[in-house]
This record gives sequence, structure tokens and C-alpha cells, in this order.
Amino acid sequence: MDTIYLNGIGILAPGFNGWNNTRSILRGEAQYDANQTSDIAVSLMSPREKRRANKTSLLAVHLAEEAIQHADIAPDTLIPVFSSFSGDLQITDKLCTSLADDDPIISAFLFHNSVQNAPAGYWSIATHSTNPSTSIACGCYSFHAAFLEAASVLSTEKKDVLLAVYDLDTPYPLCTQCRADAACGVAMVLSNTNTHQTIAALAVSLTNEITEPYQHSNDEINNLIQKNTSLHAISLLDPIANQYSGKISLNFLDSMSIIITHLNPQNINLINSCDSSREHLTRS
Amino acid sequence: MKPLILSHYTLTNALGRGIDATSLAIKSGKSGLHACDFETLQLDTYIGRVAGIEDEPISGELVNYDCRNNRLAQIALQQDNFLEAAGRAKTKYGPDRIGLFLGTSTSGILETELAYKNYTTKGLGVPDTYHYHETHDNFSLASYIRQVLNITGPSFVVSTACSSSAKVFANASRFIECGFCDAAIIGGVDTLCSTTLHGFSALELMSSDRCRPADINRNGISIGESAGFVLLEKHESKKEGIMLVGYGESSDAYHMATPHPEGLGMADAMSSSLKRAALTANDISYVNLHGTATKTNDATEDKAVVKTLGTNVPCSSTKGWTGHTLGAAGITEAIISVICLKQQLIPKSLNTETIDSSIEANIVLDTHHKPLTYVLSNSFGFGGNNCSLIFGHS
Repeated sequence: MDTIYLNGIGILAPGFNGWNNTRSILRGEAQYDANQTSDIAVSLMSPREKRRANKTSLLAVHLAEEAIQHADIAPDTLIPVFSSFSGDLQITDKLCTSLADDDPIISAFLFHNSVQNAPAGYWSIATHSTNPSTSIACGCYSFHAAFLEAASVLSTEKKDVLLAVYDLDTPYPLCTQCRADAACGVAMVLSNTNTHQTIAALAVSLTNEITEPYQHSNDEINNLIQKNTSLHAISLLDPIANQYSGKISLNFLDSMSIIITHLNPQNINLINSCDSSREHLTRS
Repeated sequence: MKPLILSHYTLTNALGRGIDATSLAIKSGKSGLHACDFETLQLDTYIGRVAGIEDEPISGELVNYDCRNNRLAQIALQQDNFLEAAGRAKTKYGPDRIGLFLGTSTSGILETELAYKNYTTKGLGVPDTYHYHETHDNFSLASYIRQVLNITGPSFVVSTACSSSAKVFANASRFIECGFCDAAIIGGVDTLCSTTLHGFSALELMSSDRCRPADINRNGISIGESAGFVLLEKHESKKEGIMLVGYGESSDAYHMATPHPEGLGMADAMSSSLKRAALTANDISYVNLHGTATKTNDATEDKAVVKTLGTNVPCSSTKGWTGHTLGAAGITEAIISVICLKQQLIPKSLNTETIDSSIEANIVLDTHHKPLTYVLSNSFGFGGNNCSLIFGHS
């Protein structure tokens, strides 16, 4: 499979406010503070669509906007691969509460916003992109499945991919096992092309060996990742932030591992070798 | 694209269990739709319900997965010797080399509806028997089937509303092409629930009669439930059968619940499927329409079909038989397209009496035999999410 270039990153979670801030925290250059959290903000959507959109869609668009800004790429050139563990569960909670009535009346608006592909729909409307999009669910492995799907789209469709994985905090009793306890998510622009914006070069493969889940040394960050499926992406972002080259193994579905090799920027002549002064360590 | 062979397939819906039930109903013109008698719902509409789901719970080790959606999956997997075919594929490729890609729109949401109705909104919490993760979560369908079939390859669920289980053909094609798996089991399951019945009612898109696609008096959809599964393998020259030769996907970029008025996204999906199959419009012998029987869908799909394929190719929607099975519509109509190819049969637009004069496509009003080479199947969903598939003989 061809090399995958990571050309843009978006991230929002308690204490992680965009890629620059997150990179500094992961490098140990800035203090992690869970209370410092940015609001969801979008600029590509019209005021009318912003009013219509559900919070999950706004979160997804927020993440996607940051990633495409880093990648410096037109949004309508990308194929979206969006992933979350279900549709908008805050809406589901409202719908199921209404449906408990003997003679229920539910909002048509809430109903069509409840579908899992609502964020992809709003993204296409905001960016006027008629490119196909996929919206997938994979339980606690939302990021892993989306990354594999994105790799398969890159390889076969030969177009850049916008990966976004996100979830809102979920109301009881929904999603008690791999729950999300805050609005969180990560977006990436993945490409076949090495550009001035390229952050990392990656190779991906699958093996049927099972690896241990990623652990971050900071307990607070580790807890956040455990409680928010979409943040499993940090297991890839951490070595990228720290410029560790080598293999990153992600346990997928407890039956296999996705091996993502972070190629040494010096060996692959990244146009933008972001921080060559740091020592390259190998972690495999 | 490299064609993939549909080595084995099965389908269960309101017409009955297994391929033969659907095939016989299509030949006899018998609809599976009847007046709504689902749960305690009081809606003036018709539904396509699978008989007997209530009496066949999931038991044993996987009991926590027991819900209407996974029960229908359990029933469907037991038809047409599908379990045996999956077993042979497992021996041939190894359980870790078989991908599993399934579509659903609402998964087992009925469990949550019942938990809210009977417990949560009465301040009683949730019962011990409620398991969100194993029933309602959109991945629960794939999680359940991975364990039933004992396969361990890459897997996820696609949830793009009514195109979900058409798009899984594309996912499987890409994963096989990339070498992430050697073969794939794909399909989709969607079952009746209050959310969709009341939701489409709120959108004023439900027919008070059996749905009448393309009819001048069509007045909305009839919701059905269905489960279908296909074993997809690389085509080896000696194998004879039906193949997936093309897929096309697109977005409308127009509106969340209404298709683009000129059907541009729909036309894009059809053109893209032709291009990928290296075929032209003249190669298509029959189109199985998305044909929901809403005023808007049928009018815009007609514009898209005429623009892409012209006015001669025979077209029909088979939703008058099965109802609109939402997240399972893609796989249901893909398998019906395969039945048509196998039997060289063009189904009529069931329940259609007078074709809307503004519809220009060649809507078929009598089921008849005709040599078919390639069949195109359309599936379009909320969010302007479109998928077209083309099937042909090997």
C-alpha cells in the first residue's frame, strides 16, 4: 500500500484545544488542564444551516475545519469518512422520551438529525461537496475502523480523505460501556501527496496479533482517552507529536492489530520536516 | 473495478424467509404489506413485518444481544444454507481474512424505546435486561454476527440512513482490493421501531395505503423490515454466478431530508457506477429504483434516471412488495436484482395503477421474462447520501 501523508489534524476535547496546543501537551512542553476547553466554533456553515444542525454535526464540522486549515486544502476536494459509535444520542434520548407517551408526537427535525450520517450531510451542504461520504460505527473502535476505511479509500479512489471521529457526552442509560463523557473528537486530512503541510508519513497494515492498548503516562489524559472512544486517535498523535518513528500497534476488535508505521521524516524527505532538531526515537 | 462474485446470499423480509419466498411473491404479485399492527402504535399506515420475530429470542451465550434487529439477523442467517457457506469460506480463507461490513439505520433502538416507556420515564431507571451496547449501539449487529459466525477479520457498520446496506458493497470491494481481507460477508438488517414509524409520520411521508411507487396518486412510503447477507469473493474465471461489476457513490450537498430537485446527486451515483463498471447506459437491461413512493423521491429519481440512462430502460421499484426497509433497503434490492438476473425476470411496479404523467422513465406494469445482462439498483438516503450498484453475469 502507498505511503499515507497526514497533512492536517483537528482535535477538540477537555484540555485539548486544537493540534498546536495538543502537540505541546503531548511533548510535555505545556501543562494539561482539563478545565481549559474551547467552545465548538464553525465558519463554513451558513447561519441557517448552523441553526438547523445538531450539536454532533457542529462538533464534526469544527474538527474538520481545523484539519483542512492545517492541510491548506479546499474542502470540496476531500472524501469524508466520518465515524462515531451511533447517531446523535442526545437526540435519541429526547426522541425516546417523547415516544414513551401514549400518543407520541415527535419532531420531524430531530428525527432527520438523529441519523448517524447527519454530520456528513451538513458537511456536504456547508462545503458544496458532492463527493461520496461514508459514516461508520465500530463500538469502542470508531477511530481504528475509520482509519482503515480512510486508507482503503485513499488507495482505491486516489482522492484525499477527511477522517473525522467524534462523539458527544451521552446521557444515561445510553452507551454505558464505551461511553463518551464529553464532546470530543479528532479529524485528519490524509493524502497520497506529500505537501508543504505534511505532518507525518505513515504506512498501514493489518496483523492478527493482539497488542496491548495504548497507555499515556499522564493519568488524567489516560482517563480521558479511556472514557472517550474518539480519543484513541491520541495513540497515533502522541508519537507523531514527539517525532518517534517506528511502529504503532492499535488493538482492533480484540482480534487483530492495525500496524501504523510512522516513517522517519529524515528518510522520506518530507517537504515540511517540522522539527528536525529533535532526536528521533524508535518505539515499536 | 475488479468484479466480485456473490458466491452465496440470503434474504428475509415481509415476503417470507429465504430467497424462494421473495422470488415466489414477485412472480405471483403478492405484496408483503398489511395494516400497521406493530406494538401498540396507532398509525394509519401499512407495514412490511416479518412474521414470528417475537417468538424467536436469542438465547445462550449471546443472550444480551437479544433484540428485534439481532433476532431478524439470526433468522436470516439460518436460511438458504448461509451458515454452511460462511463456514466453507472460513475454512478456505481463515476466519481472520473475512471482512464483515453491514448496514443499519436504527439497529436495536426498539429496546431503548421500550426501556424508556416502561422504566426510565417512570423514574425506574432501566431493567437489568437492558443492554445498550449489545442491542441499540449501531455496531451491535456486526458484533453479534462476528460471534455467531466466529469470524475475526476487519469489520464495521455503515449507517448512512437508506443507502447503508448498498454502500457495504463498496466498502468490501475497497478492503479486498487493499488486501485488508480476502473475502467479505456483507449485508444489512433494519427492523420496525417507533422511532422510524413516528419519525416518517412527523415528516408526513407515510402512505395511509400500500405504497404506490410512480403512481399519480402516490402518497408516501410503507415501512418494512428486512435482513440480507451476501458472501463476496474475488472472481475466479471458472466460477459462474452473479457479480458486482460497479458501484457509484455521491452526496447531494443540498438538504438533510429532501433530494436535490434535479436529482444531480442521484445521477452522479449512477454515472459513477457505470464508469467503474466500464459500461454505457445501453448496457443496463433493468433498473431497480429506490422508488420510495413519496412525491419528491420518485419525481427526482425519474429526472436522474432519464438524464443518465434515457427513457427506454425498464424500471420498477419493488417497495410495493417489501415496503421501504430503510437501512436494509440496499441489500434487499441488491438481492432482488440478483434474483431478477438469475431468473431473467423484470418485476412490475406493484400497486402502481396509473403512472404519473410527469414521469418519463419506462415504468414496468407487468412482470415478465426478458434476457437481462446488467441490472442497476439505486439506494438514496437522508443527508443526500446516494449509492448505485451494478450486477451482471460472470
